[in-house]
Amino acid sequence: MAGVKLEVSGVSMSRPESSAPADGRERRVLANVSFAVEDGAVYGIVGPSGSGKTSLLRLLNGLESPVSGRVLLDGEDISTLEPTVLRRRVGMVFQVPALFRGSVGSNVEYALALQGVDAREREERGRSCLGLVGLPGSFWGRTALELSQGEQQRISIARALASGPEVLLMDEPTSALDPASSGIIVSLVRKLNEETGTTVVFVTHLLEQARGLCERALMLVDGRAIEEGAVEQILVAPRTDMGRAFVEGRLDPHARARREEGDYPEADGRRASGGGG
Amino acid sequence: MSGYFELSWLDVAISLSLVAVLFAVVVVQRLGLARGVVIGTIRTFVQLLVIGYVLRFVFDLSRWYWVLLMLAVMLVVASRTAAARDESRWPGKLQIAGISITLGVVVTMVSVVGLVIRIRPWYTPHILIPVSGMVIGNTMNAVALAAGRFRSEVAHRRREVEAALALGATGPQAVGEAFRAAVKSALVPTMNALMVVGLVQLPGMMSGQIIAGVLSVQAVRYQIVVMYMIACGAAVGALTAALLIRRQLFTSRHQLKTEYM
Repeated sequence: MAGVKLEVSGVSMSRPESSAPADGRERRVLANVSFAVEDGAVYGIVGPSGSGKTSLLRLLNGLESPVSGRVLLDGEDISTLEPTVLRRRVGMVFQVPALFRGSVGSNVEYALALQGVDAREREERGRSCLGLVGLPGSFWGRTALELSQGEQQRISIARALASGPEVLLMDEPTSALDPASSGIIVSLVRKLNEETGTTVVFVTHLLEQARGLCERALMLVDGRAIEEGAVEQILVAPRTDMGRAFVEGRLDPHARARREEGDYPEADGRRASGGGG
Repeated sequence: MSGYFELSWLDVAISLSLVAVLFAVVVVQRLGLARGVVIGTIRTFVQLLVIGYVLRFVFDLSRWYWVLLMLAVMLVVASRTAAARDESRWPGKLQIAGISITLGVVVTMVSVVGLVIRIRPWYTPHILIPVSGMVIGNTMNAVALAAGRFRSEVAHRRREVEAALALGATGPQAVGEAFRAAVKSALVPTMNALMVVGLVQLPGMMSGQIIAGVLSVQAVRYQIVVMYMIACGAAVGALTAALLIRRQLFTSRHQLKTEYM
């Protein structure tokens, strides 16, 4: 059977308070989160907005660093890898396409140009990536920022695929798209995973999307991993009260703020339970 | 014929009526600048008066340490002005402005005093102070423009910068375009000045001599040298500022520091 591709153990993360970064006050974003992703899997990270999903994803390719805990890629601590090399192995697709100015081609071959790949090979490999996301070769010379959002997002996926990543991180890649384009992206991810064997970590707040794509998933609330396991189990029969509240759409997004202000009686041991769910 | 028309204090007082026009515009249009006009008018008067006495004092003494002190004060004021124009929340703005302006000015002045205007002694105040002042002023503008443009460019293009990092770019590669845009925008005013100097506005150094009735070939030569000097100061200052800011934008692991954006 496939081994573990990514292993996250006990990561915590804080950010400076954005209102006054200089005064040293920090806000806890992730608290002692652990999970493992099998090689070749599509792994889901679900949770309400502001729960730390994006932050968690950004730790996996070193766009940010945890204050404690480790992330292992093929058993190797990513903090020991050269960041540029790590990010070629662990690609990322953002919520918005964030394409560069210029042609579709120059976007798709960007990562290869950084590595000094010669122009002919760049175009050859770039065009095959365009094919992987189902776009015709005629797109190559078009102006990237004039395309539709859905097309732009597909190009951003092709751009991330160009350096041949082993893992693809996807941060709510459909949330800025119309339903038709969303559907295209989701089936594209499924196809990519099946055809290339690329491991995918897929962040979404849409439970149906997670159920359709992933076998296993992690549920984050307030920066804590409250559920982890088979997607059917955690989305249909969550073990925790909070997990049930999220799945049933009645999670109070302001509960944490009130708890921190101290006028909210702590009902159970959630605060102390940390990660693991 | 050339004559030198003396200005009395009464003449200066009458010129206040010109500021009254400005004041009227500001008040009638409710621009909220009335206080600024009053303070600015007073500061112009006091600063120029005081600097006149200070310069005469420094010229008369002609000691290297008084000249250097004077230049240091000018650099500090220029650095503070450039830093204050940068409205971002990044720390170290004053240091970055100070290092960039000082480097631009020192590189320019040392090469000019060493190679072109070989004044002896090197601190001859009535040459060194006004020429340095022009270089400092122009370098200050270039540094402020470079810093402001670079930071706002990166903040606006934050997503593209992070996308580039995520594709394996180093920090400097990821902000390459913003870096060039910043340095370019800092140098455009200087380029424009080189293009139109003399055609639209007569530079200060020549104007002074013309008004004093002693315009000479020497003044023209000096002015040409000064134009090339301010270009050099702007280039060194803007590039230094952009390099220092670029270092500050990223961690050693090529992560964009977003907390001050």
